[in-house]
Amino acid sequence: MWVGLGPDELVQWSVALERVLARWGVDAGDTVGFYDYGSSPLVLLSAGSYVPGLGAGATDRLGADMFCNDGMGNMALRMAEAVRVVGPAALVVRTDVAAPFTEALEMSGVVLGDVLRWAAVTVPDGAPFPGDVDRWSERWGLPVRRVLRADAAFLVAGDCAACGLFHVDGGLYTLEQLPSGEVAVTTRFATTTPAVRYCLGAAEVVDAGCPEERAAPRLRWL
Amino acid sequence: MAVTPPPSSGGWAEPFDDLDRLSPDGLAQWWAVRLREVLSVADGELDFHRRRFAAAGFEPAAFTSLDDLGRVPIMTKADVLAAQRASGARSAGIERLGPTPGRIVTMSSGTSGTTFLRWPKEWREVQGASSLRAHWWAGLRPGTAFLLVAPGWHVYAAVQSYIVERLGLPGVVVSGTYLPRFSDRIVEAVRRFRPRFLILFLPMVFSLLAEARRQGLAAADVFGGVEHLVVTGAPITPGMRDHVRAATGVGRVVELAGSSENLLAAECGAAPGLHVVPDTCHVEVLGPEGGRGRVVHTTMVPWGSVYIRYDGGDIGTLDDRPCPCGLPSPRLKILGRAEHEFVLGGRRWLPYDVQAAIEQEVPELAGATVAIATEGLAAGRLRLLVQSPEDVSTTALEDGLVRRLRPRFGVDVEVRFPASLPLMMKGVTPVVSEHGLPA
Repeated sequence: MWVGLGPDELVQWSVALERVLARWGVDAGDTVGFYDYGSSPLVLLSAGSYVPGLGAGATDRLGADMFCNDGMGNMALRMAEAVRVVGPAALVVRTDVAAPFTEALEMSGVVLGDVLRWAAVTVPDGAPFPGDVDRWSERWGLPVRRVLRADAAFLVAGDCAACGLFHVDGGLYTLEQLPSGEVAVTTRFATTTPAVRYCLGAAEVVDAGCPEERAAPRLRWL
Repeated sequence: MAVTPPPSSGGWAEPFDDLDRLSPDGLAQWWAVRLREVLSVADGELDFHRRRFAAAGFEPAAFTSLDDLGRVPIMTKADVLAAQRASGARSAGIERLGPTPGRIVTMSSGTSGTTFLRWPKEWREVQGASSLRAHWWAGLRPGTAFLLVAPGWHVYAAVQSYIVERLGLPGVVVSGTYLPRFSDRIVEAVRRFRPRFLILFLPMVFSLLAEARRQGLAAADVFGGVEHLVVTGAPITPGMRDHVRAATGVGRVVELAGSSENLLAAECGAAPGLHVVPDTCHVEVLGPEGGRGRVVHTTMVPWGSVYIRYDGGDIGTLDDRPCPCGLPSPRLKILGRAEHEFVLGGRRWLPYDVQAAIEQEVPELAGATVAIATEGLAAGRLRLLVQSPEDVSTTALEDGLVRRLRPRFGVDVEVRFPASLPLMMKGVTPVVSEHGLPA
């Protein structure tokens, strides 16, 4: 499946990521690392240097720097070295390389909790299981957040430490509870490849009202 | 200096801008002025270089011509790694970062360790324009889709996105990365978007051909729309170029060489060698005049991680004779890595030499996958592992290799034909242990 985007749409998609990173505490002067492929939307939307037409990406606008390791498991030792040398404040890891990464950290003597404020885990479509997140949080010794993605619909959302639900940017996306127990998303900015009532899967729309971000529509991923 | 490309005419050596129209002497003067600026910035702002200049007794203010370059200390990856370890906090002292927020960190890996390089937006603008020059030489013109092939950890990712932006090309991102396991989706991307200009890591060319065969496709079904196939990541021999051309059907195969530390050179096609991209780097080869030696290069872009007289471990030649294409910069040919050199018959060789000798002496093997066994080198022999082309007698091949390579290398030659060799070895003759390879 191929999707197309123009510069304005890229910017809006990156705004969704920017708001997730900002809510999780990324600030000017920080560095954010990504252990994922360079083709991951999370990487592409972070830095204007990586994607034509974006201008400034999510980390650029936050005044942060970023780096990306390739998303192969055999690059885990290099990722551990990157954490040691570059000293990122936060790290986003694709779950299927989390295990080799953990092993590489142990081999390298790098303690993530000594370097990072938080890590986040992601999967190419959907969100990681909460149980896995708890496991990684315990192994890595730091808070671990979850990313919800539907790349075909240009959706990026992050979970919330306070309410445990995914906050969705109401200015960019409209959520709809379907009778089937699934949730559909309509992406307001997607015009080149419209994403209208794109079914995300089994989920539940929850009213806004989280104390961390009162106006944000929320979603419980099932 | 204007950098706006002229209207497309498709010529191979079509100048990109006025810098390409300088004479070699004019370029030498241009380089001297630019080098003086780079050295001045390094001395004024970058601790790593300031300390090394002082230790060597080098005064950037006294730099007036390229003849003075020999007084600038040479740096190596080990120096940068040591500085990186010593700093303990994000830098090696070679980084010049501008005021624009949002820098990227890229990596330069190798057997000796990984260095982390920092690139601000200020660097991307200048380097991107210079890299566009190299792509222009290689045949890139507006009006084609461009596959963004570089992994995010590599500095080329920032450069290629600039080029796409600047020429207003549709950029195509394939999920995953440009390694064989993703060949199916890369084949699909090439077929769907029909790029006229395609840049690939050399072994990936063969992975795409293998994937095409697996899908029952002819090479033309994949590469039929490609007019300029740029291969990078490994020095190609003349025979390998012919093989790639024949296997893909692409009319023009261009070699482009670069490194994360701001080395860049590209072929014009009019003469052997790759023209140094003058506003990316100045290149020296430390060896006998015109002979092979260590490649040492200096960035012309004083932003980001600034490498000055950097010996990155490459062995090559530099040809400064005039080129029929009219470009003024000398032509570099990287032949391999110093760490891959070996000694046979009292002489130093590179895997490139073996590959070139095989295709000259036994032309049926041009483009074949070949490896050099460490076990043979340890015994003072050239022991080759060769994946034989189909329908060719291995007995005849072995006889030809043994008989014709012995006088070239001055040692006994042995040949084994394993059932198969990894596709990633094709075009990049490695020196490997036979243990673990297929029987």
